[in-house]
Amino acid sequence: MSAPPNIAKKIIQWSLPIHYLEMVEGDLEEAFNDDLELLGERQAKMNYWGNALGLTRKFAFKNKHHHNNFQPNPFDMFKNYVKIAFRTLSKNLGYTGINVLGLAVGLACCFLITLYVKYEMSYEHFHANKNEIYRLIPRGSKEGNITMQVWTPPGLSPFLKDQFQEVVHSTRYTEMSNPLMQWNNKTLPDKNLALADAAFFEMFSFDLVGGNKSTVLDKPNAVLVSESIAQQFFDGKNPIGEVVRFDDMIDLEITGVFQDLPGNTHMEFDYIVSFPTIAAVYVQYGFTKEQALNNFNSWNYATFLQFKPNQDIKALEASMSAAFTKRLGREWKEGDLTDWLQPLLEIHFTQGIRGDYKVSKKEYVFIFSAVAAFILLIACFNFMNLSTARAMKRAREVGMRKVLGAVKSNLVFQFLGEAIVVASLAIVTAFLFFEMARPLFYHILGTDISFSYVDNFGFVIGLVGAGLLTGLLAGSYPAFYLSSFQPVEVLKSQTQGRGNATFRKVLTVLQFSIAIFMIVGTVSVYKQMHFMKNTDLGYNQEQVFHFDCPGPLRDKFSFFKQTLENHTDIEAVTISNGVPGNMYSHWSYKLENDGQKISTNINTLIMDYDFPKVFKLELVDGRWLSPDYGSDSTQGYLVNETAVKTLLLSNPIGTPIQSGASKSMGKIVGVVKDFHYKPMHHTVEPLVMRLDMNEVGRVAIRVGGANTSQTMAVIENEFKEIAPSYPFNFTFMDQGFDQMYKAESQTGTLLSVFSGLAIFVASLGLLGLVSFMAEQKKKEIGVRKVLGASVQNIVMMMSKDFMVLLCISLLISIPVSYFVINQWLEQFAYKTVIGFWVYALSGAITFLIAFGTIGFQSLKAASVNPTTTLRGE
Amino acid sequence: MKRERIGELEELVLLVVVYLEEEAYGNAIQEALIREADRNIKLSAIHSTLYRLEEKGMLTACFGDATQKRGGKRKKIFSITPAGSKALRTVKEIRNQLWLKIDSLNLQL
Repeated sequence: MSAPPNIAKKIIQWSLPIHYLEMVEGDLEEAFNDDLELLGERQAKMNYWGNALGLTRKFAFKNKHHHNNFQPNPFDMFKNYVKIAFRTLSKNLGYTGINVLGLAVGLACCFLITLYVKYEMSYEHFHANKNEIYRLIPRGSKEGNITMQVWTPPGLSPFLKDQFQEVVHSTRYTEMSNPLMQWNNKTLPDKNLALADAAFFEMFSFDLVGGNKSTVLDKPNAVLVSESIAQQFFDGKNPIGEVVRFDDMIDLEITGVFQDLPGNTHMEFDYIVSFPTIAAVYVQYGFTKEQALNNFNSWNYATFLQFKPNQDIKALEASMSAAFTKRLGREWKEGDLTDWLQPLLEIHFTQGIRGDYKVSKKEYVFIFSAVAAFILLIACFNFMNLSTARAMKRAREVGMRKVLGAVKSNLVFQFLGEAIVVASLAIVTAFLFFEMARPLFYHILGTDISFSYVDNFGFVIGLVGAGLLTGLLAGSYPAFYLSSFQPVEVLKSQTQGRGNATFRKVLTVLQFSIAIFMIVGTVSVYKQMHFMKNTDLGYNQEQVFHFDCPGPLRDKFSFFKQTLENHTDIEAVTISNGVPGNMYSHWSYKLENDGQKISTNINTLIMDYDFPKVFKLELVDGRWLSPDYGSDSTQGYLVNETAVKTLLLSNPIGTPIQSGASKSMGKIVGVVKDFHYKPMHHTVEPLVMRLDMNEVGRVAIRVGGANTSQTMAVIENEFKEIAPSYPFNFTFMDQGFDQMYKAESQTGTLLSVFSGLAIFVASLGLLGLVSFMAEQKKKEIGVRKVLGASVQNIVMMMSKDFMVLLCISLLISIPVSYFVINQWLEQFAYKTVIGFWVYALSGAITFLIAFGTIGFQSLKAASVNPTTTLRGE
Repeated sequence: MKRERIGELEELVLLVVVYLEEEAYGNAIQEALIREADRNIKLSAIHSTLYRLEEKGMLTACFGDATQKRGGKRKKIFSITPAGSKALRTVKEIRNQLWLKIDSLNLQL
C-alpha cells in the first residue's frame, strides 16, 4: 500500500503550528487515500503535494511559536526581567551600591586615563606629511654609550636638499625662549620664538589665518605671529604688514598669522621668524652672511627633512651620514654608527636626545593604562564575588523559573540583563566622577587637554560601549553560574549553601595582590623622590634663583654685580653658562698627564669667579679661581673629583690643560668636590670649570636675610634700570629642582591617588563579602554566644579566613613588585634601596584597612543579642 | 471586541460546519462544498480558512475518533461559536435588506 510522499509530510511538519498539525496530517492522509482509490497513486501524490505546498505558503508568515500557548511572549518576559532586576537591586541597596560605586570608580579611572593615553598617542598625528617627515639626529658613541642630540649645523639642511633628490622639503628649526618683541613701543608677550626656513609651513600642517603657506617665510626679516597674539595686541588692526622690533635690534615685518599651535606637538612657539634673518645678527659679530647661514661649525639647529613617499630610510640614513661626515672633513667607514633619521611621529616618545624638552616616557602611558585596568579588574571581581556569594539567595528564583519552563539561555539572558542594568548605573555615575576629576587629573599631569562631548562623540560612545562590555564580562560568570542550578537541588534543600567559595577566594586574593602591589609602587616612588631631594647634591640650592641675561645687562654686568653686592641681603652674584640641573655643554680639551697627551671631550661649566660662592661648592684640593691671580682668567682651570679619577690624574694640581677654543696652555689649579650638576638620572661625569665672559648667559644670585620678596624687588629694580624693556623671569633653584623630577613626582601623586582608589574598591568588595557572611552566620553566631563565646572569639572567627587570604596576597605581590620596582629604578643612576620596611609598611596599610572593614562588620554581627537571631528556632 | 468581517469562503465554510453538525471536519467540509456549492476547492484552502476562523473565535473544535484511513490521526471536529453565528446572521441580514431594496424598486437584474 502506498503512503503519502515523505518529503511533503516533513514540509508540513516544519511549517505548521504544532496544535494544528494532527488535524491537517489526518485530513490530508484521508484525502490521499480517497484519491488513491478514485484517481490513482500518481494523482493522489500530486494532490498531496499541492495541498502541502499550499498550506506551507499560507502559514509561512505565521510564527509557529507565537500560537503555541505554552511559550511565553519574549517581550513580556523581558519586561519581567527588568522588573525583577530593579526589585532585586533596590531590595539590596547595599550590594547594589558597592557594585555600582566600585564599577563607577573603575570606569571613571579608565575614562580619564584613556583620554590621557589618546592625547599622548596623538602627538604630531595631525600633520598631513607625518609619515614623510624625519629629523636628522646626529649620533656619537662615547665610552660605549650612544649619544644623540637635536642640534645640527645650519649648513646641513641646504646641503642635504642639494645632494639628495629624495628630499622634497627641508628646514632648519630652533626655538628661543623669552624673546623681546615690541610693536609701537609696546612689549609683546615673551612667548617662544621659532626660526625656520621657507618650506616650514608646507611641511608641517600648522594652518595659516593670513598669508600664503609657500611664501610667508621666504624672505629675511619676515615674522608670523599666532592668532591669539594677533587678536589681543594689535589694537584690533590687521597685523599683516606691521613691523615688530626684535631684541631692540632688528625690524621684522609680519607676513602672516598662524592658528595657535595645538598642545600635541613638540613644537612650541607664538612667533616664527624666517631663518635667513639670523644672518643680520651674525654679521654684527663680523661673520659673512654665507658663514652665518651655511657653516658647519655652530651646531645650534634641528634639521627636518621631508622625503618623497616610500623611501628606504635605512639606506638614506647610511648615505646621508656618509655625505655629512665627509662634508665635515672627517673620515667615513662602512659600518660606522650612522646618524638617525628620526620619524616625526617618534619624537614625542624618544628619550635621551639632548635638546628635546617636551617629550614623554612611553612607559608612563603603559603604567597608567595598567593602573586603570587594575582598578577596573578589582571592581569586576567585586561584582563577580558578590553575585556568586549571594547566589543562594536567588537559587529559589532560578529553580522556580526552571520548573515553570525557563531554559538555561533564558536565565543567562536575565542575569546578564541585570549586569547591564548595574553597568548602566555605573556608567552614568562614572561620567559624573569623570567630570569632577578631570580638571584635577590634568592639573596633576600638567597637560591641558581640551575635551568636549560634541567633538568627541565617537569617543564617548566608545566609553559607554566599553562600560557595557565590562558589565557583560563581569556579569557573564555569575550569569552562567546562577543559571546552572538544578531546580531539584535548590528547591529541595533547606540549607543555604555557600556558593563557589574557592573561586571567590581566588578573586579576593588577586584583588588584594593588585592593591598591595600598587601601594608598594607608590611607597617606592615616594621613597625615590625623597631620596633624590635629600641626597647631598654637593651644592646648596636654598635661596638661589637664576634668570636669563639679556644683551644690555651682559654689557653692564660688572656694574650690575657691583651694585647688588653692596646690598646687605644679597650674598653673591654670578654669571655662567648654566646652573646645576641644566648644564649641557661639551668642550674638547688637551691634557698632559705624566708626559702623556690626552685629548677628550668634557662637560664644561663656564662661569665667573663667584660661581662656587653662590652655590657653596666645596674644594678638596688646590685653590679657587681668583682675580688675585691675573692668569686665571685665561689659564686657570678647576676639575671635579670624577675627572681626576676618570682621567687618572696622579697629581691633578698643576696638570697642563688646554681648551680647544683657547690658544694658550693653562693648568689645573683646584679640584672641586663632586656635585650633581645633572639630574639624578645620570651619574656624575667629569667636569671642567673655567672662566670666559664671552660664553656665559645665565645669572644666578644667592640672597640672604628674611625678607626675600623685598630683596627680589631691589634686584628687579636694578635689572629694569639696565634693561627696561626685557622681562624679568626668574626661577628659584628649588622650584627648578622640582621641575627636574616632574615626571617622577606626577607619577608619585597619581599612583598614590590610584592605589588609594584600588584599595578602596577592594575594601568595598571585602565589606560586601563580610557583611554577607555575617548575615549567613547569624544563627551560628547566636548559638556560639549562647554557648559562651566572647565577642573577640567571634570577630576572630569571622576575620580568620580573610586574614589568611590577605597573607597569600602579600606573598604573591612581594616578588612581583620587587621585580617591577627594580626595573623602574634602573633608570636612576642614584637609587634608593627598597628595603623590607617598604613591603612591611604596604602590607600593614592593607591589613589595617582590610581589618578595619572586616572588624567593623564582624563586631556588629558579634554584638547582636542571640535572642533576636535565635527567636525563630 | 472588534467586529470581525468574514469573506465569502469563510461564510460558506461556516454554513457547512453548521449543516454538517457532528461530521464537520476538514475532508467532509471540502466534500460538502464541492457537492453543494459546486466549487472545486483544495483541502489546503479549507484548512487555512478553518484556522483563520478559529483565530477569529468563530469556530471551536474538539478531537474526534482516529481511523486507519487517517494514518491514526484524530479528526478535528469544528462547531460554530456564538460569534460565528452572529457573523453569519449579520451577513444574511445585510443581503436580505439589499435584496428587499432591489425588489421594492422593481429593478431588473
